[in-house]
Amino acid sequence: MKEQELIQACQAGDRTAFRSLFESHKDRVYTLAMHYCRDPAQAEDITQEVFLELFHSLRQFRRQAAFSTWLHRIVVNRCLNARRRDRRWTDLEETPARAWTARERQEESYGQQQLAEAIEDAMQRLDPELRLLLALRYREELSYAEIAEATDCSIGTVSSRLNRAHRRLGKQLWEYRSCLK
Amino acid sequence: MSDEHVVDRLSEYLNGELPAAESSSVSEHVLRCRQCREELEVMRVGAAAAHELPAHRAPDGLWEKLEARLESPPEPAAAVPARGRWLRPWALAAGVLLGGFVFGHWLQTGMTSPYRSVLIGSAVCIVLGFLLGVLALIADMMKRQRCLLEELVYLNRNAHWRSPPGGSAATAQQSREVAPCLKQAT
Repeated sequence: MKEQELIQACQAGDRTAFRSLFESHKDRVYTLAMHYCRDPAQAEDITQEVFLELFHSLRQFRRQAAFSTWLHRIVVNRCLNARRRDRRWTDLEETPARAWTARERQEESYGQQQLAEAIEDAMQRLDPELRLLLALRYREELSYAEIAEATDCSIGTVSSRLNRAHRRLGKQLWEYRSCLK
Repeated sequence: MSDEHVVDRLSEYLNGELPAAESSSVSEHVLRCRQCREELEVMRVGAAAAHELPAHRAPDGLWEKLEARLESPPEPAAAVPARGRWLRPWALAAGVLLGGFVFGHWLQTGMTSPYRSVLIGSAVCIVLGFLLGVLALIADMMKRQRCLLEELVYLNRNAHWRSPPGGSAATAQQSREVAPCLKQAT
């Protein structure tokens, strides 16, 4: 079933269609949430909240906007909400995310692991909002205009924030430049 | 144009977000300007690292947990207020009260006439409140100015590249781009 048909079926109350929609987008939503909060439990909560909101508001969805744009907006709002609600986030501390990704990367070579860990550390030091913008750009491959729409900012703001994110990341990973280019 | 530094356009340049003419102008500048070239190298490393961001797999059993919650309404996603804005009235009130209390106490213990102490204490409260209000106002204005400046620099920078001969479509587009920021600032 095509996405448009799935959405129409969901709007008609078809829960099987909603499950299909969930299955096709859950990893993307979870990935964005993980990059934002870097905590699997938090990311799971955010993912659930995103799909709950989607389930309850899908009837209001009109075809004027792309579904993915709409979904990205919900993800961004839910991430910001979660952070405001839970002020225990401590960005510079060792969070479960690093151990989690380390387990995922056991099969990689030592050099790759080191690089991956350095990137993890550098990402950890970025503001969550900047991490989310980077994930929207590089994981979701959104254009600056699409990111602006999802985050309800102007393109200029997106551009200057991404500029900052690139610069900070680049400075922290400068010693790995030969592996990264 | 080519002699201006292009540092604030490098992320757009790297991501192919600039119109062709502006992109080649940035390329030309970077070839001549060591400072921008070095900055571009740093940002290129940052972009390459960002390309390595991993995808994560949602945990198993997520659908079952979600399904159990589908019947209950979702928690409302209220708009996120600007950071620190909630603090200002409280800071203001606390500052005025504390200042008034300290000065009132000092004046009462240090002076003989109680009316004079109350008068001076009130005056001190008013002056303190006014100063704190002005400080809060300045901080807020600076924040808005920064946001607007960012927008203006961006629009000014792109105006001549994005405006069609008539200019109206681009102007409308730019207005749309600025609107959320203005809304936030006001």
